Amino acid sequence: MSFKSEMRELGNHLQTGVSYMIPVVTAGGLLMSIGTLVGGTNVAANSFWGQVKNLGLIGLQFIPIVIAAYIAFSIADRPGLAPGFIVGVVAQKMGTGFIGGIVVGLLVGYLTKWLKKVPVPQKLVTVKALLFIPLIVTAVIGLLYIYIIGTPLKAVVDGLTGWLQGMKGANSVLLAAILGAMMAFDMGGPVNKVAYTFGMGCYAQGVYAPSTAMLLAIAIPPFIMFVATLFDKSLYSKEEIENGRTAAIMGIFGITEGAIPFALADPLRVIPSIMVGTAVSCALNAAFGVTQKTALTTLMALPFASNIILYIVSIVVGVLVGAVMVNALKKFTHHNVDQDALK
Amino acid sequence: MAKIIAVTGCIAGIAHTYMAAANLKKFAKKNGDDIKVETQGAMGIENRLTPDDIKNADVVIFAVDTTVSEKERFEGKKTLEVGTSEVIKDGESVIKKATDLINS
Repeated sequence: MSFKSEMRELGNHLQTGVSYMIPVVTAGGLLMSIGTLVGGTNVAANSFWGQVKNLGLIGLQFIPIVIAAYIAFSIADRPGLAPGFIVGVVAQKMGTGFIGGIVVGLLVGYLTKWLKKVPVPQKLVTVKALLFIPLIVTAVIGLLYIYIIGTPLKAVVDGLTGWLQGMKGANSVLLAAILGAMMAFDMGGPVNKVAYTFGMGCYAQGVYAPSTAMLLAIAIPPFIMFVATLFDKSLYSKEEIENGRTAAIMGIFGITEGAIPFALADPLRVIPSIMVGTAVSCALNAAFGVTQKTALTTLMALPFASNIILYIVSIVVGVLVGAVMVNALKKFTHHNVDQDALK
Repeated sequence: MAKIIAVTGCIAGIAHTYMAAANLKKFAKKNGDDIKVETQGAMGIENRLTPDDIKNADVVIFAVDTTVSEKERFEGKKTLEVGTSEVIKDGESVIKKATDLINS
């Protein structure tokens, strides 16, 4: 297998883990945020809203465990699951978080995959699947983690988390802008995924500024294109104007991909504009210091933003900047709509 | 006319999965090929490929950013593996690559 396809496969395993993690994050983060929003920050643990918050917190604790188990599952199929779950709990309890979950998933996955290939006499095949693999993998990786990997990894994770949390002023604005631009660059493509996974990783560690920026970015490109079609209909074909509306509705529900048809039809003008507009929204929001602790996207997260007015201002300004820029580029570089319609 | 089957899946499983499926169908149809697409999105496996579908297919396209669920079903088939973005950007050449694979 070539190096490139090897890397591609590794990426797919990580992404499979993240894809199984998303519903955990959504349920946990939302319950925690609702509990805090209604019950107040100092909600009593045994009150109703305290229990809602607790339920959410329990959900969030599952992030490293689910990541570990499903990366292992992705690599080694079924036999990877059980050791992945068990050692995933070890990673969670040792406080190594999201990164620990990934490390466990990879170790468990590859060891299991390798053991699956080890030939055994026909009589022992069932014993191997039933006993050897779960026992050996759990014991080896679990003990390896407890005695050797866990502690130094925790130091690294704590260092990273502290550094990200301590990020203030210009650095945090820059990070938000970069994440925003990456999210808008290919809308669900490889660059977007890197930013998305990074944001989710920060979220899992309880570092909410980068995750807020990343999630805020999601609906900005479709909103930009929708507003751009409203501003100047002459620059867009009939289908594009219709597309703009659909994109905006999809954007409200956290789907960024509605802007893709615009980007495919006119990449050189559309992609830079949505990148700039999205980066502006994210940077502005970071400069205001607004965060939200749900895993919800742009507009759906609105009620949970730490300052709703400034959050809206950030969205509106970025969308306007992007929309004006894309229309100006289309107008002043002699963009011909009919040509595109013929394609 | 080729018989193509495909599986699509992305990280969040809400948009790219279905856009890739739609694009594969569009360009396969344009090319006069027969296609059935199974989606592995946030709702799990939908439009599941039956053992007959798999047996009769000339080629399998995996348009995925994640691992294909129940991949063992496709053992021994000619497969083309690409990312969902590639299909959304240029579905035509993905279909062409897949049909080229049949005769190789």
